[in-house]
Amino acid sequence: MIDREHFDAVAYVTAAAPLVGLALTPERIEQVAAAFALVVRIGAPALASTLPPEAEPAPVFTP
Amino acid sequence: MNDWHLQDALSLAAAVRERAVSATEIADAALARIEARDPDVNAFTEMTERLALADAAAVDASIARRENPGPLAGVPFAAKNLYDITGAITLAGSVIELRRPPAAVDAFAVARLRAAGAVCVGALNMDEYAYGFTTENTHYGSTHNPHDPGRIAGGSSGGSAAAVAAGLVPLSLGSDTNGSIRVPASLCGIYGLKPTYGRLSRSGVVLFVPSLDHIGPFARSVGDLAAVYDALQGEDPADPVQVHRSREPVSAILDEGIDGLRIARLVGYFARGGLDCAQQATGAVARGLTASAEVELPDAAAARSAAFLITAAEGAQLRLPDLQARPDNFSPLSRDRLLAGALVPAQWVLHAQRLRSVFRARVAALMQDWDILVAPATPAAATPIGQEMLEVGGEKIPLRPNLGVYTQPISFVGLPVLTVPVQNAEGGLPIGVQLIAAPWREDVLFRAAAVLERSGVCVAPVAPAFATG
Repeated sequence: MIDREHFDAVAYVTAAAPLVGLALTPERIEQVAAAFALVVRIGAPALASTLPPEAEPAPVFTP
Repeated sequence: MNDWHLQDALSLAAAVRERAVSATEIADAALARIEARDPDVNAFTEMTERLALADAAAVDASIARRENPGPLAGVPFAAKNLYDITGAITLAGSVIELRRPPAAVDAFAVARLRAAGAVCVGALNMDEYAYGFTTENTHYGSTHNPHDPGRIAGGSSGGSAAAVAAGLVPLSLGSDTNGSIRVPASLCGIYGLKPTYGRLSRSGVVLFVPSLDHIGPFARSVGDLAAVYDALQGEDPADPVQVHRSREPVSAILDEGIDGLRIARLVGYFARGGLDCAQQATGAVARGLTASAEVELPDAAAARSAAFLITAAEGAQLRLPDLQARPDNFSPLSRDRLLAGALVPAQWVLHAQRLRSVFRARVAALMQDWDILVAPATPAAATPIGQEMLEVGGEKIPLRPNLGVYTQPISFVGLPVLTVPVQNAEGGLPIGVQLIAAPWREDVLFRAAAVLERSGVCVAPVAPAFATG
């Protein structure tokens, strides 16, 4: 799922942080980008898996 | 009462019921011992003397009235500081939570143990918001491993495991999202139970990742672990993910043995990425249970990866208001990870949750053939406090996220796991092994752990440096 060739962690963190109300200093952007890169690395095997269309998300809301 | 700290909880409760000792005498001795020896491990963040002495007096009064004081009468216990304890501030390992008022009522689990006669003596150290496997807490200090004070106790329930291993209490409560009971149980050499997801109520517990959070106990004997697990079972409408099931107590079945149980050792993913001591301990436990085969858990690596993504996103979402308003109040060890988690795309999380459904079906298919799977709990024994990298097979990997590499795929689909200890696995250090069952089959895990305890393969004495004095 991840296009690693075109993914730029610093650019992504800079652009996405305001979407969730985070005001990050340039120094912190670098640190968060490094942490995000770890998420990308460890999350990659899951995101590389192909799922059947009938696979529903696990949590089920019970009204 | 001499050497009370070496005794298990059930022996203490029996002594109290028989009036060989009073609950108040045990509470006094426990509080004095914590005062004297906790500085060596830094397991406690708060002692609840007043509550403990009141609880103990109530037990003694109950016995004087010839009433049943409960199965855990007079037994001291403590809870990870994300459990509400009446009168204490629930810290969850943070300084941000210091703004909260003291808890007005107990968490459901704490209330259950107190109702069973147990005496709450305090709250225990943990990784900030349970986001870690080492209990190197920036605000409250690192918890030290009772087997070697220069080493980590594991986390995030490190205080809970260290307090039991050091003989400060015979029982404690922790929580487990990705391994936070199983990792410290392994590194401190004691028993730890992560029940089936949805078995025990989490109400009154600060959540970390709601779709993965479990609670469970630690103990130094299988009988104690069974007793506390039995006491914790009960329906609680306040926990929206608790599954409605009848209580299924296990204390009475510990002598049933393992005849007829189909037991296999997990290999493949679970045989890679760890040090020799982890595999040797797993082999010893597998032989002790006469495991008849080696099997693989398909897609375990992807499952661990998906658990990591869900953890990052859900963990950050719960803390988002504080990440927005006061990021500098978070520990440097968790702040950047939480901030990064707040930016994880929804597509990734939904993919991970769909993968969870697929993996659950694959695991269920495997569990049709096996009653118990045996796997290492951690890739290494306790490492030095502050260590950042672990060398495995000539490759250096980041230590902190990888301590949960064997536990994460299992909790991802909520299977019950009982971690059993193997002592002297690496020098004088212990290491744990996971016994894994199908959902709701905690009973077979207790039967197997009891077999291992009786045969001497698994024992959990107080750590040598804490056994005397």
